[in-house]
Amino acid sequence: MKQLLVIWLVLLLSVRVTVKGAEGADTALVKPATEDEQHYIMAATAVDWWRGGLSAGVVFSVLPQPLTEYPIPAPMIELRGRFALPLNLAIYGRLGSNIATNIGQIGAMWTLNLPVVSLGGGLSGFITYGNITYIDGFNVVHERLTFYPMATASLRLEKVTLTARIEAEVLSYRRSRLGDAEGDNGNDRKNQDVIGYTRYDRQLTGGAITLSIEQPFWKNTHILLGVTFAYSRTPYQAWFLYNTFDDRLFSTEFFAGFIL
Amino acid sequence: MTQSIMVVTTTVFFMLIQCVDAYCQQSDSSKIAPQLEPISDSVTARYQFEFTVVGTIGVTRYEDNPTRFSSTNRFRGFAGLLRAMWHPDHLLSIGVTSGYILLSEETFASGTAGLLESESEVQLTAFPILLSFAMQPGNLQIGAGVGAYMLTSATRIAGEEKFTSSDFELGVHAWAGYDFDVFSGFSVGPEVSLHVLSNRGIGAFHAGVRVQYDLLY
Amino acid sequence: MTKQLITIMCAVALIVSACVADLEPVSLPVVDYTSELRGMLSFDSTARRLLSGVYKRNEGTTRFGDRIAVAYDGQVVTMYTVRGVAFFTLRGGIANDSVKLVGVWRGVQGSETGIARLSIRPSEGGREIAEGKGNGLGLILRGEITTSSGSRESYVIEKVDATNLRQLDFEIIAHRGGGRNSERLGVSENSIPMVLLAGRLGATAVEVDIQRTRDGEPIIFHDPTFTARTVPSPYVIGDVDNYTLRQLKAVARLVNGETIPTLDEMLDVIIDSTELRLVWLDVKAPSVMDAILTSHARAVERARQRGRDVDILIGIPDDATFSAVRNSRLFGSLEIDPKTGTLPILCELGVDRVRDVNARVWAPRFTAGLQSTLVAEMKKEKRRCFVWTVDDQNFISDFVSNGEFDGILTNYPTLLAAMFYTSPKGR
Repeated sequence: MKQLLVIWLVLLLSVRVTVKGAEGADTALVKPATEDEQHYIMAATAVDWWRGGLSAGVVFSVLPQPLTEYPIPAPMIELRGRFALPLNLAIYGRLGSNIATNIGQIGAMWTLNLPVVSLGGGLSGFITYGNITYIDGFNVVHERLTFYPMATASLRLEKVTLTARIEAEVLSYRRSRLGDAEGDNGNDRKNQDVIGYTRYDRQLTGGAITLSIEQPFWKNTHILLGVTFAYSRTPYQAWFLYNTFDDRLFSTEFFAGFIL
Repeated sequence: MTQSIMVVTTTVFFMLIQCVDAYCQQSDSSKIAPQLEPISDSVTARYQFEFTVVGTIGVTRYEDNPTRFSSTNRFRGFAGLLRAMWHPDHLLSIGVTSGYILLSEETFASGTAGLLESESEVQLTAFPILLSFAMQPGNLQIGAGVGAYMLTSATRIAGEEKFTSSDFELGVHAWAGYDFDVFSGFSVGPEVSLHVLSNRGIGAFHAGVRVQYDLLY
Repeated sequence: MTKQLITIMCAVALIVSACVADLEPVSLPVVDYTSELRGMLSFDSTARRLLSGVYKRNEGTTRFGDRIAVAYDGQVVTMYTVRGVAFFTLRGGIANDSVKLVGVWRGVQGSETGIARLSIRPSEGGREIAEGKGNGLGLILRGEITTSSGSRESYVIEKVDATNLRQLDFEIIAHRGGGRNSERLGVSENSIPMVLLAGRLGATAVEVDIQRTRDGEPIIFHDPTFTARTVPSPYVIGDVDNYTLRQLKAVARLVNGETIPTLDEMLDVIIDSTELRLVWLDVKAPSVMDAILTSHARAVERARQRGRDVDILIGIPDDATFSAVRNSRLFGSLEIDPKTGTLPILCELGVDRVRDVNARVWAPRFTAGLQSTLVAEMKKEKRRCFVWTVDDQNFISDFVSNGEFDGILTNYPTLLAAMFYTSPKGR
């Protein structure tokens, strides 16, 4: 995760250098997005009504080291999307899966364009469903519902949009069950042996800050690059690891995708 | 918790500075060009497909002294890297970096406590396999790579047979280079770079020369 | 220029902050026991026995919950709490019919720690302890604790159950010699200092892992490869069995600076310097089974000579180890326990395999559930039943309240000790 931070900073600094180059060329630094250039998924920038955007890509989460004991990347494929509504409102969401962990997020935000920056605020619901059958014969199922109130600020530069998003993580519900063991101990497993728990937490379990870049990569194809630094008592990607730590754990999520 | 606060505050501060900076620039530029005009690429692409060979010398720093016999945690090393980058028609280029890095080499003289009467040696080398990204304003190139480093340790303790052991570690590489055009397709310049394998507590800073060839020049 | 400078400084600060290690050990506060207990008589075994039991919170801080278990490990009085998952290690003294206890506490699932200063007034049980009479019921410990933030919180607890907790026939088995590196205890997992700490964490038994060196020496180590998690030395990488014992002793250090112990070294320390009553040898290197059984026989003899009642069990986690034990030329030298007629073997496989090898302990994985019928069958055959590895409070609660196991393997002996001792089964 530390390595990813360094990469991110280098990329950000690189963008700054480019902007300085633009100054020298006497070109306008900032422009409003034209219809062809409204490639915004993460940015708070308001776009034309009924306009939608979708990005397809991958996510690499580096799970919290106290839980995994070793920095293990957890990959996932994902779709991120945004659909603009009247009155600067927008629906945004995310779908992701690596088979073991499946996520779905949907939320609404209100956006505002200022001369250089755009601001946004919103709320989303985030569902996690996990299902793992371990190779040595037992099955774990997990469900949870989390809410993320968020605030977003985007900086519109030439060809590039930088976005910072701050989110709070409010865990509402989680349920975890162990079961369906294959009975390698020579017994016939009975349903009453299944153990698990259900909690209605409704508690602030952490927060996250996401930094992202949306920029053209090849011809008119845009890419979305970003990183999320999350501090959480219950990192969603590590649901199967029986978190016993009474601490907010640091995890990093690096995401990259092509904007379709 | 302290770490959390530091990361969040510095990140937010960093973004704010970017915003203020950009706003100031926007104010200045609007005096020159009040009409918002279509934007062209601010940086002309220097190449489309590029090979770079880099030779560097540097210093490796371990978090602690690597053995109880070591008198320091800093060691001299060298590296030879090969980088292949594809640069489409915008800011970003993407490619791979690999090569060989000598991270450290130590020899313990005979008589060192605990190593009996014979001389002992330890050596650590790395073979990186990195996915790399770069941006190139003008003749400058700034880039970063992330991926795996295959570390190989070669050890000979107190007269025992020398043996090697290897494992992969996640690591990151960042570099900055400048290119002076020499003749068609070729350029030469200096490069400084950093390798960080934070899980192992290894950092290496290198400086040297890069030779670049643009395949599609 | 200023803006660029600030930007660079911010970037550097971000890198530096991101590079802070996540797993720095939690430093316990330093207590000067000599000056704190000056002029006081040391505790004897009677005083420790009178203090031991279950307490309820009367007043003061709620951070440790309403029920507290008080036990002892050697000369040290220990306390375990469910809430906060905290352990206390306290040294005590008696003067003028008053008792004073001072020491440190640590929440093992987080980084909270502080100093505890508690006392017992003569009229609240101090006189009883000074005279060595009674059972300690109703005695009141009152005082204050400090916290990581430096605040002071009052604390008053009262003994409500007089059971001598350490006498209960239930094993609190600490994983990896006492705890994992991720608990940041300041000592490394599977190290000598860790097993010395295990009793204070609440353990009555430990599980240690056996790997092998290239020259066939059984060593105490969990993973098959060296990683920065266990051995941060950059020269020590790759497979454990690539290295000779001599090479490891020369260049390998565990995360808190200890050397990797051999099986013989570990067993010697457990026998000579702890009060642990059971050792579970988790064999991850069945290819050196003869060497393991040789060390086992040597340790059993050493314990006998020293009058130590410690059960050292050969763990069988898989079929390869099962075959290695059965086919070892030393299998026949394992001693049958005259009380139970079993061999010192702990088998994690099915009950048929347990019977086949006449194991003293059956140890299924916790995900298989309570398995009450099979546990009862095993007990009827005079075998003990342990379950592994249970860390989550919900699951521990299920096994303690509804299960019939004789012991639980956990990374949190403190939590298990607190939950078991304060449960109806613990009394």
